Amino acid sequence: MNERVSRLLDFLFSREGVMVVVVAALFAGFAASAPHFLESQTQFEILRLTAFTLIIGLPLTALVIAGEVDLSIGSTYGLASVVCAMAIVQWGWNPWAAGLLAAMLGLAVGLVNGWAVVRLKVPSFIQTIGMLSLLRGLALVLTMGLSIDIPASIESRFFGFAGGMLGPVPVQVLWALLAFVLGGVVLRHTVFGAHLYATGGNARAALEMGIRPGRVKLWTFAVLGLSCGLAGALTTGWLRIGAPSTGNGGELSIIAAVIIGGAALSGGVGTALGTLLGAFVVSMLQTGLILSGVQGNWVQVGMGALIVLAAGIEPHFRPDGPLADRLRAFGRTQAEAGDA
Amino acid sequence: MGWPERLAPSPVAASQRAAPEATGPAVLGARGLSRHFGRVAALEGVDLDLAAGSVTALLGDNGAGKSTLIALLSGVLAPSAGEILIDGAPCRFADPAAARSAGVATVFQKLSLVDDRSIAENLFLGAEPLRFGCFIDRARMQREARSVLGRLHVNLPPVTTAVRALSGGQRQCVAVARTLLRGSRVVILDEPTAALGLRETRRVLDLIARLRDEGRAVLLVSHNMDNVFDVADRALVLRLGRKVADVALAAVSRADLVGLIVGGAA
Repeated sequence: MNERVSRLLDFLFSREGVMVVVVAALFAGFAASAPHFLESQTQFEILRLTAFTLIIGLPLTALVIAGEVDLSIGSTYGLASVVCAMAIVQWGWNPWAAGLLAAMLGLAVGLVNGWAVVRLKVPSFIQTIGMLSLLRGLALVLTMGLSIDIPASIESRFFGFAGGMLGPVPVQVLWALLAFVLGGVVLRHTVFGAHLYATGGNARAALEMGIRPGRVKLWTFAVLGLSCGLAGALTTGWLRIGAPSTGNGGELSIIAAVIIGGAALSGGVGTALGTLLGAFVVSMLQTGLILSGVQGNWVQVGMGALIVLAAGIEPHFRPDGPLADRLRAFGRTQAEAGDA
Repeated sequence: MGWPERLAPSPVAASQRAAPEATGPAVLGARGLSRHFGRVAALEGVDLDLAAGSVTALLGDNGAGKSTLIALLSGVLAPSAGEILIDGAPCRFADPAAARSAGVATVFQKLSLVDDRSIAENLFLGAEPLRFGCFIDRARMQREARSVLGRLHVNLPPVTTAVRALSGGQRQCVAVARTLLRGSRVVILDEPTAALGLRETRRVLDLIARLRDEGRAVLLVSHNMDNVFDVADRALVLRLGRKVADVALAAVSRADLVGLIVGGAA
C-alpha cells in the first residue's frame, strides 16, 4: 500500500501531476466565473482549438526533445492552407489532391528546415525564424493579401473529413486523438522515440553509441512540416477558406503549449501527455478569458506571461530540481520516522 | 648492433623484450603503431599485446602518448604507420563504430551517458531490443540489464532509475557494463577512477577484476599507482611517444615504474 501511495505522490509532484491540477483548477475557475463556459458549444470549441494545437504541437514536442525548435510552424500552416484553397478554387483540383498537395508542401518545408539545420549547421532558431517570414510573405504574395473562398458549389467528402461532425463531436477532435496516440506511442515505445531523447539529451553520446542525431533531427523536422501541411489542409477544408493570415501567431500558442507541457528547449525532456495538458491550458485560457470579457489583446499578454512563467518554474520541477530534492529529503525523514 | 647487449643488463629491458609471452592469445595487438601530427610524433613505433583475461595498465606522464594510443585503438584516429591486430589478423578501424563491432570498446572519461534516461535505456542506447522492428521491448531490456548488472555484482538502484541520480562510480559501472552488452572482448578504460572517492574507486576496481575473470582483455589508463598494482597484471609505459617498458607487475617495484614513467635513472 505504501508503494502505491508513494507512486501516487510521485505522480502528483511530477510535471504531469502538477499540470493535471492546473488544468482542473483552470476549468473550475472559468466554469465559476466565465459565462457560457460550461455550454457544450464552448467545450467543443476548446477541444477544436486543442486539436489544432496538438496536431502541430506533438511533432513539435518531438523536435524540442531532439534539442531543436521550429518557429516557422505558423507560417507553414498558413501557406499550406492558402495553397490548398488555391488548388481547389483557381486550379480546379480535386479537394483531396489539394489536401495532399498542402501536406507535401509542409513536408518539403520541413525537409528544407531539417537539411539547413543538420547539413548547413544553421541554428534552428535562425533558420526557422527566416522561414517564418519567408513563408508568410509567400502566402501574402500568392493571394495578394486576400482570402480565397471556396464556393459552396464545390462539393467533396473532403470537407466533411476536415470539418464535419461525428455525432456531437467535431472530427478534428478525432484527428487530434489519433495524433496523440501516435505521438505518445512513438515517444514512449519506439526506437525512434528513444533516439530522440538521446539526441537531445546528449548528442555526443548518441553518436558514439551508433545513433545518427542528424538523421533523427531531419526526420523530425520533416514530420513536423508534414503535420503543419495537414493542419493547413484540414483548416481550409473545415472553414472553406484559405486566408493568408491563417496561423499568424500560431507558433506562439503552440510553443507555449509545448513548453507549459514540460518539454525543455535544452532538449532531452518532454512527453506527449505533457503537451496534451499544455494544449488544454492554452486553449482553455484563450477561450475562457475572451468569454470572461477580457479584451483579445490582453489574452496575448497573458499567453506571453504564461510562457515566461512556465519557463521560469520549469527548472524547479525537473527530476534533479530543488523541489524534487526537498521531496526526496522529506521522503527519507518519513521513512526513518517509520523505521523508528 | 651493440644494442641488445647494452640493454640486456637491466631487468626492465629484459622483460621489455619478452612482451608477448602473456597468459593467453593476444586479442588485440599493435605493431609499430605511430601517429604523427604534422612534424610532431605523438606516438612512435609502439607494439602491444592484450591477452584475454588480463588487465594491462597503460602508464605515462602527460603528453606521453596515452591518449593518442587509445584514440588509435578505439578508431577515433587512424595510425600514420603500423598496424592493429585482432586475433593476430591486421585490421583497420575506419571509425569508432568499426572498432566497436570488432569487439574493442572504449569507455572515455566523459562516459557518454544520457542523464535523463534510465539505467536500462542507457545500457541499451543505440542497441535497443526490438519487437516488430520498431517497438522497444522494455521488459526484455530491463531483464537483461538486471542480469548483466547482477553478473558483475554491481550494486545499483533499480534499472528504471535515471542515470542523473547515480554517483560517479555508479555511472562508471553503467558505462562499463554497456560495453559487455555489446559483446566487447577488449575494454579500454580511460582513467576510470579519476575524481572518485575511496569506496567508489574500490567499486570500479572490483568491476575491472570481474571483467578480467570473465576473460576480457582490459587496458587501464591510470595515474594512480595503487590502482595499477591492485588490479593490473602488466604495465605498458610510454614516454614521449615511445614505449619504454612492457613489464609484468610482479617483476617490478613501484619505484621502478615511477622511474620509467618520469625517465632518467631507473
